[in-house]
Amino acid sequence: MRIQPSYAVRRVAFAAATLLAAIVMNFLLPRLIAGNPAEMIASQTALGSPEVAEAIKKQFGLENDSLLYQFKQYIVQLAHGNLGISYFNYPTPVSEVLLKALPWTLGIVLISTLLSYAAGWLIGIRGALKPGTWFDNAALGVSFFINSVPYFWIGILLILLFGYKLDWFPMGQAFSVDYDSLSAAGKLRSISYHAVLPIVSLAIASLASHILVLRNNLSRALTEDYMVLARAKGLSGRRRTFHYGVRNAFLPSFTGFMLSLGHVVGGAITMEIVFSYPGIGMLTYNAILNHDYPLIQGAFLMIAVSIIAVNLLADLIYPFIDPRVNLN
Amino acid sequence: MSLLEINDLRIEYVSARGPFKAVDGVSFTIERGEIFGLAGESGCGKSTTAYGIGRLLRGPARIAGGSIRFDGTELTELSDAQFDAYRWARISIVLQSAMNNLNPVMKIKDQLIDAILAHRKGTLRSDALRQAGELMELVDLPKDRLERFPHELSGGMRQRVVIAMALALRPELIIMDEPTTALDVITQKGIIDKIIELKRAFGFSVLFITHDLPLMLEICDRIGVMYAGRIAEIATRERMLAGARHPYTQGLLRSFPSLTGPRARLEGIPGSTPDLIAPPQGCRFRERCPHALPQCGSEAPFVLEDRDGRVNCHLYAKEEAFDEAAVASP
Amino acid sequence: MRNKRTLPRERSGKAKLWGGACILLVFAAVSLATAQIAPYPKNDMEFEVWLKPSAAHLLGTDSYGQDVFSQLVYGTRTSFLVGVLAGLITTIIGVLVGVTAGFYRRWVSDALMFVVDLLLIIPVMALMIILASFLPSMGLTSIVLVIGLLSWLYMARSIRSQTLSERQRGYVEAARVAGMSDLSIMLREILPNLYPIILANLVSVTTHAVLAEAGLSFLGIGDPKNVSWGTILALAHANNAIMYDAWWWIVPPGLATALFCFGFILIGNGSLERFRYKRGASQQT
Repeated sequence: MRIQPSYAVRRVAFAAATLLAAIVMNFLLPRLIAGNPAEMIASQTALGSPEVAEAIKKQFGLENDSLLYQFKQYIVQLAHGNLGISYFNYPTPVSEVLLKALPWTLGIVLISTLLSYAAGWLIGIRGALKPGTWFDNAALGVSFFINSVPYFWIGILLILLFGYKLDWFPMGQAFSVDYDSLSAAGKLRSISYHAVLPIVSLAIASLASHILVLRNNLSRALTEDYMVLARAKGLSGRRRTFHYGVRNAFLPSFTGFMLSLGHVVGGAITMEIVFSYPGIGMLTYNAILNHDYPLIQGAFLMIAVSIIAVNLLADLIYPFIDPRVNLN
Repeated sequence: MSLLEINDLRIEYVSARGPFKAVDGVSFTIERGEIFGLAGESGCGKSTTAYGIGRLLRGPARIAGGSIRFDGTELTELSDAQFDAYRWARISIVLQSAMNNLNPVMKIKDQLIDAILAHRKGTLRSDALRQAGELMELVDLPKDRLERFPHELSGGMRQRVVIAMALALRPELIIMDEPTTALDVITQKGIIDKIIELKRAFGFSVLFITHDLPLMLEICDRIGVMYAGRIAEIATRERMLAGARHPYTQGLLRSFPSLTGPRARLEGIPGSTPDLIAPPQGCRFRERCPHALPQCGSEAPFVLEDRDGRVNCHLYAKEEAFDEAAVASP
Repeated sequence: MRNKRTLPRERSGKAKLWGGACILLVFAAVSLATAQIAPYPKNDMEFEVWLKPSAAHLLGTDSYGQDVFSQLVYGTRTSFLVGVLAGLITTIIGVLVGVTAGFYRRWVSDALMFVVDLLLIIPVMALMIILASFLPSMGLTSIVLVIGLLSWLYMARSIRSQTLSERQRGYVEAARVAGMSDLSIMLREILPNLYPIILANLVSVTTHAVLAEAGLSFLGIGDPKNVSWGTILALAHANNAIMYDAWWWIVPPGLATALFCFGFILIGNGSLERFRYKRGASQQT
């Protein structure tokens, strides 16, 4: 009996409660930014006339200043899958704006996360198995260095080196200027070409902590008594490393990995700005600066949902990989 | 020929201040079918000796010299690959019960069979599982526990599993390092009885390590007492019960309460163990020995070997010249 | 039959402690004596633009004609202050919340963790941006507060787990039986045993604070009058330093951050080693 039903129910209930709290928080958060939104839209869309401002107010449920009323409107709209209309990109609905940016973010952040973890784990394992070798020391040194510099600095350096000096890759954007005129294959090539540097920068930037965590955990697991017993049994090195070492060391990394996956949707704000990559991160940043409430709410909600969903998934999967967990 | 012959074994740990001589010239033998105990206080080197024999020393520890002959073969000369053939098939090990002996993420059955599958190439998994079932029977454990994980078993059950595991390939020597120390007395008795029963059935030898001397007197045929990296005395059980010869062993025996007899104040041994990086000249026990002679501070202890065992002590240098009774009384 | 692995040297942590302390002292000195060390005043824009490094301008000039080296020196103070102060605030809150959540069972712990998990869902960077644009003026204190108040979440979780496992140990029961108050137990019994993990986290949050400040400045949030390593990079990026191949404008701020964080890491690791050395690691006998 790996998963007790009570455990599953508790995790789902927790996820639901968190979602609810997240929705409320989402609602309140953008409103912390001072300013009356209706006036802002009216002036931004340069309409000027008070009737139009009134109409917009009504549309956004802003006619009644009471927070409770606005919140009710918000919930009702949410239930219908309506995330509202972006102030800044009026009249484009928020969902459309988000969906346009989402694939870009998913692409680079997801791929770089997977790459980063895979590489980090392999390097960490090798370092723990052969501590003190030049490989291990170099890996540790590089890890500490990378952890000590801003993410975006790595991006800028890579652009300088590979984009400008060597001219191997484009220096920004998600695709080339002549994108629309390209064939399907050409489009794919253009996208891939433009994605390399962002993916590599992101992967390198987050690589360090993955190396360190797994290396430390594996080093610790290797000192456990069951490892001594495994060696005494004369089991092959591979079996010992994997079944006795990594499978135990991996457990904490798994949670971290799932957590990162959940955060993928949020994108990487600074990196996207460095590369002028039209992902969710950049979108959120601009939305905040433009006081675009619905867009901010929509973006945060999407991020919250993905994190909660992935965390729930992680909680439900975890008992299968760590048999010691089944209740508390 | 003895099953195991240890001769002048030396194991040291590398440290900043110089090598720490954890085991400094230890010699003893273990016969076939014999339970040999290695006793001593914490830090005397008994576990290190055991790990050295099993080639399980970690990190800063290394064998600095001496010989380990197993069934005639010099183990120290074998390559790692050659030694692997000995692992578990001829020499297996049971570790202390309180520690993480069993892999938490593997089922019991998998841990029982992986040694079988590793050494007997070509064994079918089904066959190995059947053997695992037999092993569980040997230690009186129900077979359904095979599907469980270690944390689902009690401490006593886990220790039985570890013993069953040690028997998987029917080894000739089983090293047991404090196998019952963390268990309650009743469970402990069950485990000890089981070990004796299995030994009778399969005829393996046991190197039994513990600091619990009274326990050792119950189960072991011969006992070696270590102090500060050296052997102080080796004696048969009978000889020990009649009265140990080395002052240290006597001190040890006096520190354990007796179940019967008049109530007496427990005596310890005053002082503390010497620094093994720069050990004292002569006998290492000199500082704490109530019978120390002048030569104990400069000459290595005299070795007396006779039918009853061996004693490393100057008090026995001229047998007829002293009074054994005087030594035996405090 | 020798042990093939390299034998680990006895580590007492002294070298690391001293190394880290030296590095940080240098930075502290630079922070204090900025006017003396920087060759030119902060906003002097009278030099030729895009100059390569030379004797007169150790790190060249930027697109505005400012001396990059002076900028770097002035930026040291900002990064140092923000890093240390925000790191401290984060640590204090993190320890408080973590130990409390780990010590008290059930609803206190669950409630605290619920709040933490909730806050963890919001992308921290975005939250900082929001808070930053919410605050009327973005002086140094605001930045310190924004970073300090939002970074304690992971630390709280980490300390909580450790406290939970410490709580199970015998000495806590013993202290209870001896009649020690909860607060006493937390402060005098558990806290000292948390020293390694607090230290590891302290180093981590301090370096993160420095990096967060760089990030916020890079995004244009923060005091525009202030110079920090992040603002240097922001300007470099905004002015297409890459196109001008102005590596002297781009590379130094990153290296400075790396060196600075390295100092903290050294001190952290050194302290840990010293702590373990004093406590004594157990060996098999």
